[in-house]
Amino acid sequence: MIKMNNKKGQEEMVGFVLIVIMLIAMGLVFMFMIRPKTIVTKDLQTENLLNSMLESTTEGKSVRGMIEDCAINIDCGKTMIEITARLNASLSSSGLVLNRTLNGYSFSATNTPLNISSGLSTLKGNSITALIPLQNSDVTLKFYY
Amino acid sequence: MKMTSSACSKQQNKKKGQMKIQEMAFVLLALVLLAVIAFVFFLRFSQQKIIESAENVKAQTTISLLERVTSLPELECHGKTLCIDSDKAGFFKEQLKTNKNLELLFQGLTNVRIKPIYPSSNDIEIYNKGQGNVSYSTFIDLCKYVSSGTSFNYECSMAMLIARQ
Repeated sequence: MIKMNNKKGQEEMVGFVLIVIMLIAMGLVFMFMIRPKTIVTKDLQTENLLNSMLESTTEGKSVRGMIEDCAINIDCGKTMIEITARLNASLSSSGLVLNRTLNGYSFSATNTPLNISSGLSTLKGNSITALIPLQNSDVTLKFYY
Repeated sequence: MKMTSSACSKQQNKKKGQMKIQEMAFVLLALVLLAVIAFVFFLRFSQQKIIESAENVKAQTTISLLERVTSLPELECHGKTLCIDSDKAGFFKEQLKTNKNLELLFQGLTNVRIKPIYPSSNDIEIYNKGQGNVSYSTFIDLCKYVSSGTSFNYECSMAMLIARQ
């Protein structure tokens, strides 16, 4: 009789320990699932960079004007070249200003075919972003770090 | 015989009590572990928030400090924010050499320079009184007033304004 009671008690204990382990495992899974995989932050410095790029000019025409022209189907090819040159030139300086080692960037403008990025393999993970609305298009710049 | 039965019952009760104590210990252990998990989760969450707000504060401090420089009438572009007129900057740099009173405009700063990014060219050092310890920088427009036919327009390039304290 005592032996049987003892065994029953041991079984109860094992079951209880199992429940506890399951609860802890569920808690851990919940913790890792809820954690955001990537962080996207709006950034004032990135906004300044984007603004500076939009105001810069080539042959008397600003990049802002070029993008607006592109949105109504006037010469998107040259606009793409101009934007790429500016972003490539500013990537190393941007890292210093933003206090981060940047992996790459992506640039897009709605209502246009402008979708520029610096190497697709590195464009993962956390990013800082800026959005500036223009007359016919919304321009977004993202830096990945 | 009676004595043996009573001893047996006592031992059984003792074992039952031990079992209950063990159960209670496990419940407490589980509760503590769950509380620890929740606390770690909360810490990670608040740490992220603190880092984000610290970065925001730093960026705002930097920009407001540099806006002070770009909004100087001696340097600013007409009708633009975060923009420096390159002609005005060149002239102002020369003036600083002769008029020491103008140095008061850069109170609290030791070095202010403009680094053109695109198209790249030589840095323009506006003010230099040492190297300083803390560096603040942001992107600005570096513009030049040029004539295009009958009218005048700004032609701008991308630049970085670097100030040291």
